[in-house]
Amino acid sequence: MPLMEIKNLQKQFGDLQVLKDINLTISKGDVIAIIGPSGSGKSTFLRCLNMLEDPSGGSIIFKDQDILAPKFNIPKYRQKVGMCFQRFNLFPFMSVLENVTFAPKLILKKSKEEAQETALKLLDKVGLLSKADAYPNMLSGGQQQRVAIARTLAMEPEIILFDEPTSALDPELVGEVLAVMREIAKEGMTMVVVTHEMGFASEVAHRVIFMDGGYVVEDSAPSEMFKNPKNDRTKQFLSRVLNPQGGA
Amino acid sequence: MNVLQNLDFPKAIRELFPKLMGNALYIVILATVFGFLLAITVGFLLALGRISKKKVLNKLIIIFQEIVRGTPLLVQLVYMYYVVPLLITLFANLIGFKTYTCHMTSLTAGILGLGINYGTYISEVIRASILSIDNGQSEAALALGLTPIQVMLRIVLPQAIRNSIPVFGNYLVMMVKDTSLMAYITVQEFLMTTKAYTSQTFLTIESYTILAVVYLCICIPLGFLAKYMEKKFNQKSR
Repeated sequence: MPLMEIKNLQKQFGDLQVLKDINLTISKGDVIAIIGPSGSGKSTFLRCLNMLEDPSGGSIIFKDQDILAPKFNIPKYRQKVGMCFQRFNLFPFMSVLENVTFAPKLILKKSKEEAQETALKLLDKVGLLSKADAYPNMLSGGQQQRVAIARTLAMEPEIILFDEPTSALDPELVGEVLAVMREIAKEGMTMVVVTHEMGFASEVAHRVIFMDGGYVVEDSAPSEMFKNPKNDRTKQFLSRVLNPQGGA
Repeated sequence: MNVLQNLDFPKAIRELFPKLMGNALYIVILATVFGFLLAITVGFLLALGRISKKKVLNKLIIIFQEIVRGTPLLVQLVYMYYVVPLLITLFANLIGFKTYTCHMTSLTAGILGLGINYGTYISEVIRASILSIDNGQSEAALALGLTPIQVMLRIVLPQAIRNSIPVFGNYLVMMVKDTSLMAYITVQEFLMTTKAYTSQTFLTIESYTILAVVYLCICIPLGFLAKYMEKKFNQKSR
């Protein structure tokens, strides 16, 4: 049974149709990288998956439940669908530890001790145990993003959506975030990652999806996608991204 | 030079000062504390109402704000004391409570008037600071599974309040001074007490000078406190 099934998904902003017809099936344990030129609808698609954007049409089925049904409990659904943002969006008035324990205590009704125990384990996993009492504005971008990942993991989601998690980082900080993501992927987490990091996409992802103009143009294994793209637009995009110096 | 020779500050201090520091101070504190609590409550309600997506509510609040901002506070106090009880009585009689008459003490009217007036101004401060919170904060909280109400109460408002506290301090000092307007509707605060004493003793210069000094002694330290908090909070937020 697929974890998530997206059919004919559409999203319109006024006159602008950003997503025209998206079809995708996500199975448990999939690590999917979404690539494509800017404006192709990658981020909008990701945001539709946890209803930060309201799709204009189509259907999203999560474990046999239609999440677009009128009475569907969206907050409850979002507990199982974590998301990491380009700009981290940590809560600045909470310490790192509080950022990670906040939602489990409030929503999962975990005791303070239990939430802290989990949080400390997760902070250790992302390599920031020593920063538990620091505040977000004292951390580098890479560290903030790792805290954001720990915050998302603390809700024990079944799938995590990453919206360009390394795009706002200085180049030398990208590696530490990707290393954490690689680790999570290895542990079997289902992940959908909108990214410009082709290295990460080819190395970690099981599937790479190329989006353009509101459609999924190509959906294949990374080896296939990067060595032998079928679609002309995919070829064009990849040649530009992989050889930014120009070349052909 | 007759006036100068007749100046009797010791007497005025002996007689007026205890009155000011007694009942009058109590009333000023009462009016400021309750007036300010009411103002913050009104401020939050109006701010949340204007941020909500209900068009009719938005329009009603805008009209209310325009009315309050377009009339002087003194007129509002007079209206609250002399007119509002009559209107309430009239309305009660109309809907069937024939024997009901609304009584409002001058202090109650003063607190309501001050609270509503300041609440209207404060609501714009609160609204601006709610809107200034980065949308990413709400999105991150929603993505964790919070309901929109939880997002507002647990994530947005705590940050918005932090940002508006320095401005609250300035409004508090202003409100202490504006309690003097309540003298016009017979509240026995500093000004009214001083006026009564003057008309008995004719120690005009002494009495009003003491009054001014009392206001200064309260408002200058409060002003410094407000500035100090402003600095403190600005440091924290960045």
